[in-house]
Amino acid sequence: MKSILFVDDEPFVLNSIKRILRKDRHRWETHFAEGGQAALNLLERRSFDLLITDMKMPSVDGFEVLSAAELLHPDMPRMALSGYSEKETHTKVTNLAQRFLDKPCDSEELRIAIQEALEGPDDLEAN
Amino acid sequence: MLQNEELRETLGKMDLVLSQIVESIVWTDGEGKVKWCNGSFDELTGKLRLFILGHPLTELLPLNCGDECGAIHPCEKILQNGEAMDSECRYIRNGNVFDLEIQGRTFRSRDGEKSAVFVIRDVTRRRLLEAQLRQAQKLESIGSMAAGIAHEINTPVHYVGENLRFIQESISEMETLFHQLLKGDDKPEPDSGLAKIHAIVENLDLEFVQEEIANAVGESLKGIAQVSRIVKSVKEFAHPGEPAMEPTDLNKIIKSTILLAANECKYVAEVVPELSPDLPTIPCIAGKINQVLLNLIVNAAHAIGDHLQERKSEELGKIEIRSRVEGAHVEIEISDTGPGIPEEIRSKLFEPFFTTKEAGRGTGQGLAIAQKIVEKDHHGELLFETEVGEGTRFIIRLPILQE
Ligand SMILES: Nc1ncnc2c1ncn2[C@@H]1O[C@H](COP(=O)(O)OP(=O)(O)O)[C@@H](O)[C@H]1O
Ligand SMILES: [Mg+2]
Repeated sequence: MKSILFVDDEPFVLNSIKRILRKDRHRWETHFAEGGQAALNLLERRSFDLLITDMKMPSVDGFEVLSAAELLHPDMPRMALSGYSEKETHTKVTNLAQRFLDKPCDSEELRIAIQEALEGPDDLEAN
Repeated sequence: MLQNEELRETLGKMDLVLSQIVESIVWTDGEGKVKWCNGSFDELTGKLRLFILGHPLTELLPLNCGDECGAIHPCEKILQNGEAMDSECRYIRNGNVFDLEIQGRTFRSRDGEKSAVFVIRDVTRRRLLEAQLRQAQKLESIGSMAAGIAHEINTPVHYVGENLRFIQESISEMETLFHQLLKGDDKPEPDSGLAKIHAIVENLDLEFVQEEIANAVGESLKGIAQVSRIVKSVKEFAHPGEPAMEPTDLNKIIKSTILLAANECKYVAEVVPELSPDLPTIPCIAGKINQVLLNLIVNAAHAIGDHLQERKSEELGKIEIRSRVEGAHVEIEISDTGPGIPEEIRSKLFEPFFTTKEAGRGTGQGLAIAQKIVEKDHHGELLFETEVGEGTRFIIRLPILQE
């Protein structure tokens, strides 16, 4: 099963993602890190098939999580999910993540984005 | 004789010249009875010179000076104290309001008799412009925070939306289950019944759904409450408001200002409110005090933010906000763990347009306006203590009773 790590400083956001992806529990294994520091701790120990992180977080922010992920697990696909849609953030993110999702986003949008990231072309050989 | 005529002509010229001055000039005796005035004073009072000369200044200018001068007319005060004094007053004539600035000085004429000279300036227009500037700064400060406030609202909106979709999907799947249950009762078929129900329940993950629907509703309601609190604070803040003093719960204003500034603060500092539960309501202009608070809190957040960036530190700073009673005053204290204020600029802090920030982050009006609001409008004090490398503490002292 494919594993996904979600990072957000707001626990209610993580809870809502947990609920909405319950349907997909047979195909995706979801992990949640509350805040950037918790994410770094997890990433030091293991890798995931996909990382989705909020950008603006106190102390350790999304940029640091993405940079650390790139360093520790260069092959792990990375996605940003954020309420900020400033141009500057966008361009900064495109260097660090493959995709940028705006918050609030539709759960279907999220599901499709995950699907594309996980079951993209290079997934064929795995099956 | 000729000398006398020359003298009269000179006096006439002087009178003409003095009448061209916009400010009113009034000369009174020791009792405040008018001995002479210029044309501007005639215009200000709307009276003929004939009815001015010999009449007490206090009667000619019945002032409504609010709390500042108490029951005593400022001209009376100047006569009593016998020294130069400036004061500001409000004068109402035929329903028109004039803001006046009065300067006075007593002196003795050559024959030893006590006299006084008053210069009265109409500052109504200036006050109006100042009020407009203040409102502009207020809107500017909230405007610069708009993105942050939108983000604060966006987060709950995001998870409330997700939760509602989860509830919607869960309910529609539960309907399939009920449908099957009822159908199963109706006509028992070999391949339906229990097995099918089990399959649906398994797919639905009923236990999870049951528990999570309740949580999703609970968290969504909290999210909606958060959104309404923010929207309310924005409304309260942006509203120009009654300029009148009203008994106010300062703690409430502090809390709603903290909420507004949340996005400015939370990525750089932990905000720690320590609000005294015994705070009395005090007379103040709520819409102005929250402007002062916001300016001070945003300054603290900026100071800490710059400090963190300079040291490339990830550790959050701290903004402590306290309220307490100190004798006849209520004090609100906002302290930060920023870099402190360098000695060289301390004396310039309250100057309008003094700023060390780049355009877009500050225009240098925050503290100038804050001081005016606290000291002029509320007869309080705005103080600060600072230590380079340690942080800064601003203190707002407001009288519990206005005179
Ligand atoms: N808490 C603080 N810590 C350090 N410096 C401060 C603090 N508050 C104000 N200052 C300094 O005072 C200046 C003037 O502040 P202010 O009048 O609010 O204008 P602005 O914030 O737009 O610059 C700021 O630019 C900053 O240099
Ligand atoms: Mg400021």
